[in-house]
Amino acid sequence: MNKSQDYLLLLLHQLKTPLTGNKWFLELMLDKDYSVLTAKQKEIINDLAFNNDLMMTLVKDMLTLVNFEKNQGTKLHLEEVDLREVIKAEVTKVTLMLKKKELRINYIGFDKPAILKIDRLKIGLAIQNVINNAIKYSKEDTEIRIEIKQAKDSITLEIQDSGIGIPKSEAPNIFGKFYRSSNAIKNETEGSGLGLYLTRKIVLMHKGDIWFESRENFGTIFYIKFNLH
Amino acid sequence: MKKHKLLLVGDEKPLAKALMLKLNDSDFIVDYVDNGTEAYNSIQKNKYDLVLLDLVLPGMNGFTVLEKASKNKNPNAILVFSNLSQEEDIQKVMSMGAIGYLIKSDTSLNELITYINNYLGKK
Repeated sequence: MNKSQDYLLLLLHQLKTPLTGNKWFLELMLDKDYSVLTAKQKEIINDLAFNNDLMMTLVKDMLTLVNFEKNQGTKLHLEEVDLREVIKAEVTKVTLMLKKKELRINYIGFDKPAILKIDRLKIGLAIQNVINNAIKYSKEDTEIRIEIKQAKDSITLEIQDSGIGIPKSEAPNIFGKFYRSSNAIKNETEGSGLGLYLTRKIVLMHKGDIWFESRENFGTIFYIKFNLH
Repeated sequence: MKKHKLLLVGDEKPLAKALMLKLNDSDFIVDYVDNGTEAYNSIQKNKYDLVLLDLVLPGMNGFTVLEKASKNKNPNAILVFSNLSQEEDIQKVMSMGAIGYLIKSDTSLNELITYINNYLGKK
């Protein structure tokens, strides 16, 4: 057991409380039933709320990463699962986020079982990060394609969005710890840069492969390939 | 129209303040306790329309409250409302009979009210 990891976990968890308090009180400030604001004041409060959300995202992502690294010493808990169930469970968790941006999920290749021997929780987390990115960077009222392609020796998951895309020059860094592409920062979307770092780590632990194709302003496709043997 | 009665359980006072403000203004009658022992005593004595239960509590924690309520077939519906977000915690409380699990930091006040109204509307 690593004491400094435990202290860090405790600190990160404790930080969620005041950040949640800020979130709720800022929400009340922006609610006309509780305060009447000028346009300028509203803009300032919105900026405050945005920055608070940024801090919250960083804390949550750090919690995920530290928890993951703390538990990495234990082996993968491998079990036979149907990849379709893992994906659907992750999509269910983001139903509200999808509704907010009027995003649709197009499932392809879900007509037959996709059985894999994987650590269900870790792969769920890996997929969650990619889906969250797809949602975050997607334009409103667009579609996210989630496709399972089965071959003799592998199963490949493709997640495609019609979002802001990743600049070519930044592609080599995208899986780096804390890395966020310049257009993600420009679009002022929240993010800590830890999600894809963790996703790649989990996929490699399963001796799988992860890569992507992207075009700025058109979208991105992430590929996660699992080898069957 | 009769107002619905809720029990709010949580020891983080600033969060409780925001929640009480919003819940009261959304036409709920709210009892508030800040520890697990009082929470369990309250649900043994009273029937609420819904209980909002935090997990990290002084004394008896929320998991134990839920476990005891389940063992004694307590009729109160319990929604876990916590900042713990590990999958194992969620699965544990759902298997102990919670009607749902909302993560505080992921849920706005309006989303909480919508969730509660939807749940009570279904009853």
